[in-house]
Amino acid sequence: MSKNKINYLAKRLFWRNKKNILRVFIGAVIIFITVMGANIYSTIENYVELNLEQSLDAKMLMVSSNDKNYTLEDVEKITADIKEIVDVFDYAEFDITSNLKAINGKIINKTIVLQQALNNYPLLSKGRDIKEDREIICGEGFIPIGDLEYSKVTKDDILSLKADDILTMSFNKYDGFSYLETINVDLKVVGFFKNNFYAYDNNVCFTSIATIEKIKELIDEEKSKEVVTLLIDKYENVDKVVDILDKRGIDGEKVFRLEEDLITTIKIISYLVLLGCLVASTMMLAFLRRKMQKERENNEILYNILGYKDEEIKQINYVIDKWFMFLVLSLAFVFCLLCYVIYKLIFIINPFIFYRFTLDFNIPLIILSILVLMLGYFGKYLKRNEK
Amino acid sequence: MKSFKKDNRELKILDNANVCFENGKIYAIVGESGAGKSTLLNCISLVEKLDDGKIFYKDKDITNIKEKEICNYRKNVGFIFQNYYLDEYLTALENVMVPLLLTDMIIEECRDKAMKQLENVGLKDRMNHYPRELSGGEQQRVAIARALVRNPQIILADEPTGNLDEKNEKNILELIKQIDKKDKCIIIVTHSSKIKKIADVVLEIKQGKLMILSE
Repeated sequence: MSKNKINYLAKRLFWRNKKNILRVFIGAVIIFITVMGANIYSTIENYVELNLEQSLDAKMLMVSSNDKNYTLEDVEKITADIKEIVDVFDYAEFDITSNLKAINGKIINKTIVLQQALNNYPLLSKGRDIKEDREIICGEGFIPIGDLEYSKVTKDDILSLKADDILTMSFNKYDGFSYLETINVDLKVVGFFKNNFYAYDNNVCFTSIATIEKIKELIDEEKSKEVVTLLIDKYENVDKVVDILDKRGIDGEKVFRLEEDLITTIKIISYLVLLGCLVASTMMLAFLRRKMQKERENNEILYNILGYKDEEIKQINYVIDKWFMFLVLSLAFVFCLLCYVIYKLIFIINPFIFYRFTLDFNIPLIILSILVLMLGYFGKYLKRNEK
Repeated sequence: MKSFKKDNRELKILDNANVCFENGKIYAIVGESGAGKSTLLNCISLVEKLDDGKIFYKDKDITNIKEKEICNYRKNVGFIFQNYYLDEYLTALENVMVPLLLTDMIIEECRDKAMKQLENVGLKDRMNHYPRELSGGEQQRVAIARALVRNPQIILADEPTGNLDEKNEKNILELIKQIDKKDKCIIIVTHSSKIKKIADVVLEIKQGKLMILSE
């Protein structure tokens, strides 16, 4: 029997069964839920990785100040052979929060935070690294607002700085309670990092330790106490380095302690969500296929009596299944696209509505999930071919 | 022999039913309900297998032939069922086309031939209707058109008028009478006395045995 004739019959048998249209809709919803499951899994994984495990704080170890007053050089010598340590530096609470008076002379009076830049932190996305004093690196989307209430931030609050822009910070000097003068400090933007609205606060710019010290001097602020700090390559290696340091008589103190149990639980839950979605979806699709099959069983007997071989009936069923899956996937794709467009539109209108929790559309994972579902659906044909 | 087992008791449906169906004749098979009339048709069409005994078609033993040969054999058989057994998702025309799609004809040729066949049974203007839109008599006429469209040598009809009123029964009988019997053997399982009247041979199944009532 030619393909043409098989398609002719299958097309009619599929489309004229109104229940199949409803089944296609249900199937599409099932796939959509699975895609969302994959997105949730990927989003949580991403969030944990970017905001926790890959954050600088989680990879930093401070040499305890109670320990023999080690200098930077001492620690460098002691840890020289530990390959997991990528940087050793003096670190302290250097943050300076002040009024951002103007940008290129244009008065804006907003809030800016200055932090110490480290080697390769933050990673530059544009421009160059800091070479001289009073040079700074800022986020590509710079939002100079203090105590950010992200739900209230609008697009107009995001400033796109350019290289060589001059940011003027102003500090009021006081003698006790009486105001003395206002000191303005000009800082030049030389580089940018991708802030993506998470991982960094959006009003933070980075500069050299020397610039920070000079500003503190200028405004008569006490110099911060510096602590020798180690930067580890990966969060997973932090405990290992702590043990090695311990054996060498150094007490390494984690800057940021992750709630590991909580993170593991979150990861397991997100994994279970994905797995649950996949299993439930596979079962639901198998159920729909079984329903369609049951309906066709009577006709199969009729066709058999009329002279159709089992193989020909199987081919008709296969074409029907293929159409079903094609339509389900197409409709699910439309759902996902619609969801994506709505999400992006919301993001354009208000980028902070999903602040620190950007939905991650992990295309490879989505494709893999769909392949698993299709394998579950068409598995019976594979089995038959094996036989 | 064809038997069924129920509660560990063997029920002989057909026992030593020896009969030869010839071309050019209409056979009516009568008997009480449950006597084995439909089973006999199922055995002839190879839908059911015999426990014992043999079935010959054109001197060839077809009792235990393989699936491919069964399908080829069934291309020579036209079926008419009591409950019409049409595909509900296909129109009358498409239902008649179903057996033709197995031939070498292209779809357009199948359509033309099916249309002619429907015209022959008086359903030209109903060919695009679905079975649910047709009356019982019309559905049975579609089934007859489907059974005849491939010009089979054997036509098996299981109570073809069993679900029809008198008027429709008459129409169907007319159609059966009009079938060119020259190269065909028509076997009808029936309770209808009218069908018995048009049959060349009337056989009765009683207690598994097949007897000729009239010839």
